[in-house]
Amino acid sequence: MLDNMKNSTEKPTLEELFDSKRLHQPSLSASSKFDDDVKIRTLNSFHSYNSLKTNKYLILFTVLFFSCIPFYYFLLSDVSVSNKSVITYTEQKSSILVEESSQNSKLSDDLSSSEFEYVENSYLVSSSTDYEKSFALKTMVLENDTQLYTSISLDDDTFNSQEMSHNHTF
Amino acid sequence: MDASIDKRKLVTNCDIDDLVESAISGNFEAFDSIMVHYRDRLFGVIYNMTLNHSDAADLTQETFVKAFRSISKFKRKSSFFTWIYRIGVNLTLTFLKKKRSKYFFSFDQFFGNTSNSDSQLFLSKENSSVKNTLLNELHEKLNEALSKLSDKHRTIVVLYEIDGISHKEIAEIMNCTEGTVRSRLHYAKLQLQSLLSDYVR
Repeated sequence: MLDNMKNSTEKPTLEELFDSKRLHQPSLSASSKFDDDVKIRTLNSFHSYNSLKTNKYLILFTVLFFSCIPFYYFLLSDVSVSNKSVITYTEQKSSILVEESSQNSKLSDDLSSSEFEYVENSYLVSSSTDYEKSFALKTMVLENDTQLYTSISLDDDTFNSQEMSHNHTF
Repeated sequence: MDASIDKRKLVTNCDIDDLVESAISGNFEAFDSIMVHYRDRLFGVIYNMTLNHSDAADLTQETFVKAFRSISKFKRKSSFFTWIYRIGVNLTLTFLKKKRSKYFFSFDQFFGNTSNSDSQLFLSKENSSVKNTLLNELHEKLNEALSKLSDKHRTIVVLYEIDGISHKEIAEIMNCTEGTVRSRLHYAKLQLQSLLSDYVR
C-alpha cells in the first residue's frame, strides 16, 4: 500500500506523521499485571538492598576487627621492648651509683652495694597548685638525731577549712 | 479497573506535590497513585526509544522501582515529572547502550482511542480499515527511521515531537543545554526527512 504512496502527491508531512504517532501511543492500561509487578519488584529490591546493607556493615566490622589484631600485637611487643630497655637502663644506673658511693667514704660506710637499689621515678610532676598546697611543707626542724617537721594539710572536701598541723618525729 | 479509575481521579483532583510529599514519607499508596498518573506516558516514551513492548514495560517498571527507592533524594529543584522522566530516559539509554540495537520493527499493538482530531489527518477520505493499515505501515517506517538515529537524537525526537515536552524540560531531563536540544532536534529531523523522503512531504 505504501508503494502507491511513493508516487502520490498526497503525502503527509513529518509533523503530521508525528501527530498520528502521538495519537496511537501504546498504553499500559490494558496490562493489569503491571502494578502488581512493580510492587513485587519494589519490595524485592528493598529486601535485597537491606540485606546488602547489613552484609556491608558485617563485612566492614570483620575487616576492621581483623586488621586491629596485628596492630594490637605490634603495640604489645612495643611495650615489652620499652620495659626491657627500662630494666636494662635501671640496672646500669644502679651499678654506676654503687660505684660512685664507693668513692664517697661516708656513703660507703652506711651503704653496702647489696642494700642499695636505684629506682627510676616515672611519675609525672603535677602542676596543680592545690596538690602542691596539700603536701607543702611549712617548716622542717632538725634537732640532733631527731628530725622534727611540721606540715600543713588541707582538707579536700572543705577547701577553706581550718588548717591542721601534724608533728612527726622519727 | 475501577480502582485505577478512582486513583486517576484522585491524582487529577489532588495536587501532585502532596502525593510526592506523602510518598517521600514512605506512603506506598501515594506512590501508587503517582505511578498510575505517569506510567502510560512514560511507557510511551520508553517504547518509542526502545521500539520493543516488553523491554519498554520492563524499563518502565524499573523506573518506578528506582524512583520509589530514591524518592527521599528528590530535592524539588526540578518538577517531579522531570525527575522521574530523567530516571526513565537514563535507564533506557543505558539499556540501549548495552543492548546495542536489535530492534523489533513491530506494529504498535496497543492503539489508543482515536479522537475527533483524527479528522485533521491526511487520510480522511480513506475508510477506517485501509486507513489503519496505512497508518500502521507508516508508523513502522517511522520506527525504522527512528532506529537509525543515535540514541540521544532519537530520545530528543521522541520527547519533543511525540511526547510534547518543551526544549527546557528536555534539557533538564537529558542534562544538557537548550541549545544542544535544539541542535540535535534539527539534525535528527533532517535525517528523518531524508530517510522518509518517499513517504513524507
